[in-house]
Amino acid sequence: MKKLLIWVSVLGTLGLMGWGYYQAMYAAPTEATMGDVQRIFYYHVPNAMLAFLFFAISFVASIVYLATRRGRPSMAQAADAWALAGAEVGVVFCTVVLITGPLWGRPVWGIWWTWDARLTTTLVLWLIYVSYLLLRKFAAGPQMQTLAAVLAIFGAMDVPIVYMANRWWRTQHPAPVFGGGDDSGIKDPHMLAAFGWNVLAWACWGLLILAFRVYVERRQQRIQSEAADAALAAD
Amino acid sequence: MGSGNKYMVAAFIATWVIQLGYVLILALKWNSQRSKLSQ
Repeated sequence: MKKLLIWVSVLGTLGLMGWGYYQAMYAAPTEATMGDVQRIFYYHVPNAMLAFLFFAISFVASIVYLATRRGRPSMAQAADAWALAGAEVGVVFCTVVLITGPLWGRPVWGIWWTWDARLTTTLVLWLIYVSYLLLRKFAAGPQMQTLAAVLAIFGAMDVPIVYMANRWWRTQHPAPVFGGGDDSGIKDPHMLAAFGWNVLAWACWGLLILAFRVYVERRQQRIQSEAADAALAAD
Repeated sequence: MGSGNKYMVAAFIATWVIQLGYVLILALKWNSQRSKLSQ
């Protein structure tokens, strides 16, 4: 039953990704001023939304880890696995954002990159979580998970700043598509549908990867725990 | 789809290289765990 559920989730997600691709590349009309390059939007924005979601998951899981690490260690370990998975998958999605953005900017702005508030805060967000992953990879000892949790909580403070950057400051980055006042929103219903399908498809894809990452990390914890038990038994 | 703008194609390829590359790394890690668990 569990295997069937996994296969249905995987196949359903792949079907949605295919449908999302069709919507973005064929069903949505070509934008009048930018042309086909505007279709990058259907990948760029959902990936950014999901990067925010995964960093938020890492944030919440890190708080749970810190709150439970003394009294409920098994719950703390589960929370730690979610925190790591959220940060890692978030970095993957944020990397897509930082690569597809300049690929859109070059033909539209004439430049690959500019140090405006939205772009800079996004790069800082990515750097914070890359440093989180490096900490987890190379630091050792009992304090590592606690330090990582604190870093994830501080790192998440940048998420609302990234979100608000093109509302608070004048930026080269386009104005918000949603939640940016009366002029914001996608007017064309086909473009809106393509965007909606891609958000749904990328959400399913991202959550599937996140679940897989959590599963792998929980197994890793079990392997390490068994190895520690075996070492103690050998003594 | 129109002319298949080269930047759009590059963004599409880059997105999937990153996403599938990560899934491949995860799958390899998962596979290496299986041998550790079976020992």
